[in-house]
Amino acid sequence: MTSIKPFQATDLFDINPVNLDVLTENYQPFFYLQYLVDWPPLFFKSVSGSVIDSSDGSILRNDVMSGYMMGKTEGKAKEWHTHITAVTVNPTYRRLGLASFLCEHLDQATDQEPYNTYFVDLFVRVTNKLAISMYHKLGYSVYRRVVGYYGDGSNENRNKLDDNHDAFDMRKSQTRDVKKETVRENGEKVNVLPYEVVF
Amino acid sequence: MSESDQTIFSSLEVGAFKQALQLVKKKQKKFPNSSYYYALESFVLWSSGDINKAITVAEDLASKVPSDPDTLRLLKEVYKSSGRDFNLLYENALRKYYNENLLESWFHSSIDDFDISGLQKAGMLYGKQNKRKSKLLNAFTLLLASDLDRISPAHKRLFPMLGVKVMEGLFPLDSAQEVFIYAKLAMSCSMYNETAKIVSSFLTKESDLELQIILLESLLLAENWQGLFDTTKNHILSGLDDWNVWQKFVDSGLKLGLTEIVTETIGGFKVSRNTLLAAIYLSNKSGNDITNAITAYSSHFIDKSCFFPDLKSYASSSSLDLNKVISQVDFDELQADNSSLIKLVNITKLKLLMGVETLEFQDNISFFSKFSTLLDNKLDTDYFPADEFLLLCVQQLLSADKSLFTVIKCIIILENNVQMDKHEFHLRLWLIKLYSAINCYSLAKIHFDSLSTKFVQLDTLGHYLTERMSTLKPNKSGADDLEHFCSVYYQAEVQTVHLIKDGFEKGSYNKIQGMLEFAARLNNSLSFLLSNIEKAKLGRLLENKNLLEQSLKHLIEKLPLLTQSDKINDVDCIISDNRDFNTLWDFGTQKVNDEIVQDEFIFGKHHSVKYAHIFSLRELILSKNSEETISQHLRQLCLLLDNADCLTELTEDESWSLKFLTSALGYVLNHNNNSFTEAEELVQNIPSQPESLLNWKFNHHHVVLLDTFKAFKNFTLKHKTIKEVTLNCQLLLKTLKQKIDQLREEALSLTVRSRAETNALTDEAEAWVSDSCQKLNFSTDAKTILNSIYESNTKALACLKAL
Repeated sequence: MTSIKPFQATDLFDINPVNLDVLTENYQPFFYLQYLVDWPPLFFKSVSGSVIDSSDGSILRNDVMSGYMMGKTEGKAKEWHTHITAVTVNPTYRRLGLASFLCEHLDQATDQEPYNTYFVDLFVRVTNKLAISMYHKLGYSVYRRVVGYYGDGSNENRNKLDDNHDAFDMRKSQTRDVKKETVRENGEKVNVLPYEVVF
Repeated sequence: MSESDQTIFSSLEVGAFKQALQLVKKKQKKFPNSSYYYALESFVLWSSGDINKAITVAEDLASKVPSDPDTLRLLKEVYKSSGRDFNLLYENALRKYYNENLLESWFHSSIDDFDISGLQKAGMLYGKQNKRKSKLLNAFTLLLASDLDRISPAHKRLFPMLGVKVMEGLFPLDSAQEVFIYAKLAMSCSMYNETAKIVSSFLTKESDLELQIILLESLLLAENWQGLFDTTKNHILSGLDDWNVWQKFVDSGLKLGLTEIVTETIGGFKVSRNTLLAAIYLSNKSGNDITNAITAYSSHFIDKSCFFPDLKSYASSSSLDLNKVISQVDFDELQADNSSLIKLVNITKLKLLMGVETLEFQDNISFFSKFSTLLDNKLDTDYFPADEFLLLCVQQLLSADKSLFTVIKCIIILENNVQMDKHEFHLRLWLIKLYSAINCYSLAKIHFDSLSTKFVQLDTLGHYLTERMSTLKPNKSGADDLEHFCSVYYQAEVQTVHLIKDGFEKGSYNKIQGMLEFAARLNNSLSFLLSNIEKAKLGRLLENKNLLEQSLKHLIEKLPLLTQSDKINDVDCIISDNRDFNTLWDFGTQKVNDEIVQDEFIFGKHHSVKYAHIFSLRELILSKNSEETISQHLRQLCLLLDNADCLTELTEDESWSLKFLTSALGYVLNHNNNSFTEAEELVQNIPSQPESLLNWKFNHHHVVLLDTFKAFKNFTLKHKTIKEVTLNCQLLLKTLKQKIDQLREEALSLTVRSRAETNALTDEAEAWVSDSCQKLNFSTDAKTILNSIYESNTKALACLKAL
């Protein structure tokens, strides 16, 4: 059973089953709180919901955090967009389509007022085939390859590709982008350096 | 702040109170009309422990109604520590000299202290301003205050009513945040229908998750079943597949007698985890047999790890035919693939929960080995579900027998597996626990570090290493480790205060209550307090005055929270236990079974708030100068020690030490011969040290004895008394010293003893592996593991030699 609920700062005390995962980054408290303050509706969690005993109303099972999404909005004019900062799922609740569910919720929440963005984007390691495949299924496509995104910044040649350190910037256009101007085909062949990704 | 003012605070930091006071007096002479230096005098007196004098100076100054924000901030600290109403200082000042800067200073100072009462009172004054944002602050702070436990029932009714009135004056509400404040206040006034109406109307213009949830909640509380049914059905028809919606759809449908429509709607929706669980929920609530619904769920999800937690709450249902569910899996036909493995894990856990099967050690080993080939193709970052069988082995072994050899067996199993599944954090957490138990801190630390825990995780998981740091690692490096754990609190306090202010500025009201609670829980964290107690012990053992002073500052600050009434549960008034004890047990039936690890041998009881109270008082008694304050704390400590509940948390050594110190210190202060006789008897009956070196209590005994000796010695040096008492105290110290010298002498041969002990265990362990664990094909043999245990143990013992 899965429900989407708003993330609260106190959830950070219950985040271990999700964040002890090696692939999930742990940030300083201010980073989480900054998202809560600046984009309150775009930081939410999925919970494996509580079950109430119908006979006496007692809680048979409390909410367990099964994953969360940290999103934000940024950019100007046609670059006004939603960005997926982190999406992660508790190992017990993997292979259920939960990450997709969280992404879809963010997409819907920002595809209308008060955000009404042109597109959603995210960065993913070029080697993370599983995630790339999921994003393709959700309607995302590669917009560009950010060479050295996960590196130490020493690579200044956008044509020096390195699968271990490069990221795909993937995008999905939203309703507001009627002419689909914010996405493109063959984005895999467009290389940029990290400092060129500015909004 | 001027340079000379900085010198005053620097003197306070290092405990040079006399010097600080002299500097303040000089400042008073130079600036006789400055209220600030009188407040600073009070603050210095309070910091030095001269509470009564500090309060006299503070009250004298407060009667003159100072209005300088810095003065008020210092006075507030003194008032706060003595349980006085510190907000009155600002109220009086604003009544006499109202200005917006002072009001803002009060508001910000309340955020700095996570003081909701202060926010509400300042918020009332904001409400008098004719600005929309100020009115919102007024209403929102009333909402915050209405949730406080400590306010009277009359205020609990009044605050939300006032808040609703303020918000009604702002109609029409034009943002999700404004609707949120109104809705929460109106719900507190039981105005559920009004809430539903306003929220529902807003949601037609703008979507908001928080408001969608509030709408369903308000309809439920209004018992507006038709409204709830229609709203949830609309969500479902629009394609929303959310459990909260499904649950309320079923509840409202049943209330309206629309079971058939509910069943059809569930069946008509795409098959999903939520719909299959909604069908079970519906059957259960209707009082029907749930077996078919569970079987339908199982046919889709039996090979997913969510299966067990999803169904766990139905396991006790009398209308469940477990055999029918289990019969879906043909155990003889299970292939060595992931899907079959998860099926086996799920069914095993369900059977264990329902008590229909008790697995033996070898069953778990067989299950694990059947699937161990899957490890060869597993990605590093994937988890291996069969690990649960090994954790069940550990649980079984420790439940049956908690001897040293059992712990070694568990370590051998887990160490081998963690090499193949290096990111499996449950295995690591267990290894940290077990290595700590056998006095091998350096090995526990390796596993802890491998988890890359950071920031808030240091608060929730740090207890694995910090709770007995003075025992496990009594050296500078142990003190540095504690400092690393404490750093999160210093950073977080600054960050959260800044962001809460930012939240108010940007109007992110629906997140502020959580942020205030988060900040208060971190600031008042039990783990933080216990770490400071360990720092104080290490400070004394290592004769590191700075370490001791730092920790005492924290203990003084938190003492009021430890001594106040149990009836108040507001987060800003209580010590918060944020420690995570659940993740360790997130396997098998997921039952937190802490009696296994809280056993005497394994690691002793978890330290609770009572333990923190006892040791905070002890440290303050040992550090204070004022005999009046010491006697007061000593009385409180004796009362706590008379309570049997408190004693169960203490080790035999700690219990002995506290009894000795209360008697001996009482003798120094009151010259009571009975106290001396008690102390004399205790010093002749010191608890014995465990034989085994592979036991945390071996270090513990040594450390507690030395700490007791140093504590008593320092106390007698600080509190001069009559000659007879001095001589008797010297006798007590001499006896203690003899015992310590004996321990030190024995410590010289500890490495040889440790080698002999681990060698003996190696032979036994090798035989056990060969008899019982052949199927597991261990890559690391028992000898290698025992050798690393020996090395780690000798490091722990080396700390004792250096003390």
